[in-house]
Amino acid sequence: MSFQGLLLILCIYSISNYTFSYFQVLDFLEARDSKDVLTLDIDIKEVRQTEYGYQCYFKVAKVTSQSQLVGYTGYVYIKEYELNQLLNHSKLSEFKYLAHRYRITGQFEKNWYPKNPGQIHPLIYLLGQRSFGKFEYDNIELMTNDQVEAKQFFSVFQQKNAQYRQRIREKVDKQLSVCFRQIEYGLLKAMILGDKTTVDQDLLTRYSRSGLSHILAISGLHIMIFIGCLEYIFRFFQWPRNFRFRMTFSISIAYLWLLGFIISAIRAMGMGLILIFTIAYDKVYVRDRILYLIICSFLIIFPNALFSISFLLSFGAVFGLFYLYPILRKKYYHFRENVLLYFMFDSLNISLSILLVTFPILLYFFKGISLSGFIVNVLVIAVVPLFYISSIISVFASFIHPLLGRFLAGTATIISSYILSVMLVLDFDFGFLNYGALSLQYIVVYYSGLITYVVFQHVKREEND
Amino acid sequence: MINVGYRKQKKVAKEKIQAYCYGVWKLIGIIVIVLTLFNVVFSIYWKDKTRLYYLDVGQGDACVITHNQQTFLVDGGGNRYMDDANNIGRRVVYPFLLDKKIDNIDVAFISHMHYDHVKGILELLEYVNIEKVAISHVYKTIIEDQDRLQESPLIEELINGCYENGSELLFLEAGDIIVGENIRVECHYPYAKTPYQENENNNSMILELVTHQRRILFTGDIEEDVERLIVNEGLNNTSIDLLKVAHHGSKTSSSRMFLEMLKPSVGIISVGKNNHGHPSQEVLKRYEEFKIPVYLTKDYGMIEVIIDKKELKIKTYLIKD
Repeated sequence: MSFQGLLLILCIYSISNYTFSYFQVLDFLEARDSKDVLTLDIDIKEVRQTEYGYQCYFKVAKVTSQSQLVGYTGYVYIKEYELNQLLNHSKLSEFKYLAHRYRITGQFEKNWYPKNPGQIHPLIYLLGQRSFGKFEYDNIELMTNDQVEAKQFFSVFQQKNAQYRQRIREKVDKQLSVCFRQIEYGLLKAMILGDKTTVDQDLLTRYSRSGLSHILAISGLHIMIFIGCLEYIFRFFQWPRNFRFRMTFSISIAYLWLLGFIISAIRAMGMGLILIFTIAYDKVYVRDRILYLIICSFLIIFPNALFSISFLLSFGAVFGLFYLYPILRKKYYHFRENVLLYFMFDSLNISLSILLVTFPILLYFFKGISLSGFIVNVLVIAVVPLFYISSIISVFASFIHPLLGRFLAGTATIISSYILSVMLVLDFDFGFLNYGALSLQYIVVYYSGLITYVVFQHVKREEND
Repeated sequence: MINVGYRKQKKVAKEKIQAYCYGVWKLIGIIVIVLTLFNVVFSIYWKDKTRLYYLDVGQGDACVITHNQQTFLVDGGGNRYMDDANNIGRRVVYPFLLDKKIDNIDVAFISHMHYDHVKGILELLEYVNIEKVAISHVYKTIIEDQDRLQESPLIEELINGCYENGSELLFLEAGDIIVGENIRVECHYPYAKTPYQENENNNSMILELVTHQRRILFTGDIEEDVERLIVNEGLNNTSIDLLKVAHHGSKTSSSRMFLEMLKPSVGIISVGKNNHGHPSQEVLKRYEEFKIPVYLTKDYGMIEVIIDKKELKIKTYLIKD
């Protein structure tokens, strides 16, 4: 299928998706702002004590008339004595209220509009959060078990799905905790499962200061290592290319499911899979087209991504690697016979190419740039694949025997100590240069200059060829 | 022949790319010139006008003051029961500053240490460069005493926030004046001898903004006791042009003698949904008796006051039903 064909399909998908969402939003607004008294079956997810009573965050499980609201979250203030009365408890701290389903009757709070310039429309904000805000109830009752049993198939499926995912995540989490020390455990949980909660707060700040936060996120780097490992293993078994692609694709989708289909992982995985697809099915490997296809499709599906810093940085980095890296490589290519020197220049080039493309974005958003971060990245990026691969091997080995896992985790521990020591040594106070906000005019001029330079170099190279 | 044709094609392609690049540079040049001209016209239009934005922060106070390139903030709103990371500062004041392209605040004044006045500023410290934070001198004693400081989490958080973000902390007392370009802010209360009051509202600073020979008074949450003190001591003889009504229109403030002395032309009440009965009907009636028009943020949304050499104009974000 051609590039244009794929784009057309994506456009059709996007238009139909938007049309559908538009009607969904209209339905939602109609349901939310209707004057009807609604009866909602809710599951309380979290409770906070406030001066107005218990602020209970809930999820709608069932609605009598407006099915558009199912799955949305919201909050309701419930008086303490009412909740106590319902549950027949004297102490609420036992969190018993979470185990029940409630039926509430009432209306949504009205008059949602921004009252200051620049303020996000509260309803749009809430829709983005899949929430409808505050519900004013007239009546609340506890549902009996018989009433709760009558659940819809879909919600049961969703529950089971979440349960299985959680179970596997817990299993991997357990194996990680068996193999590694607390520092590596937190780091790997973030890298493999995308969960940063166990990373020590000080360490998180240190990573951020050193410009290494991207290591803790599930980024293109990790996904490409993951896909690369799979490809390497399947090649070892000498499986046919088509079969290898199918296997990689299936495992990647399973991994995405395990991650909960987070956007950054989908973006990186999409890129990697299309790359493997072009190789597997003997399509001409047109790198640029893949990149543009991913960017276009992403912007069609998620137009807001254009203003997302992670999107801009990740594609900026890829641009740097695709177009600037080969140009700069020519400057030191004659050192290729000296492996160590070439490797050093190459590491430097990777970081420099990425930095040259991304630094206006960094300046615009963060009003400064981390100089020490550049050096830290040069020294650390090269060892990340080794760290990632050795950690995954240790986790798999720990399923065979925990001791084997711990033994193999030694390599990852050494690399982690190296990363930490690099961060500590290069943590200068003057490492972060504050420039203030960069004007949009300068950014436009800079990128135009950069693109012109790349195009000229490209033409020159073609002429020489 | 094939080679010649190929080279010709290449040459044509190269010329096309060169022409394209030339076109791009031309376009960039035009964009830069247009933007610069726009900036110049825009800055001339904006110059020499003082704008006060009384933001609708629900129950709380927040007023952004801009004059030429200077920005002041008097209180930052806040809600005790909202998430720390998603409070009024993050959701209302910061988006407003972004909208007005303000990324630097010269001085942020905190009238007193109540959540609905200070929390927003604590959040803003993370997002905006605040050069100086001015608080009442009565908090000096708390800051110097480690035990008392630990009992005052808001002051502790403020000190840490200022330290982490490089903001200078100023302690003001009556008579202190902060002078900007054609604008000045004068502190009238607390006096140098005033000690820390148990009633936190009475620790509020009374600030007077003078610009284009107009006087605007910020009264924080002062109550009748402080109002009486001010009346006894006297402020200045001339009446004031605009009054930020004390304590969200509570009946414990805005006493008759205070209003008689100040004779404000307009009153602004920053108030939202609350359980304290603010604004009090009694106080609203009193303003009506004195024939002082009052604007409430809960009805009008943000209230913008534009002051120039000729006039003082009030614009509201929402039209009252």
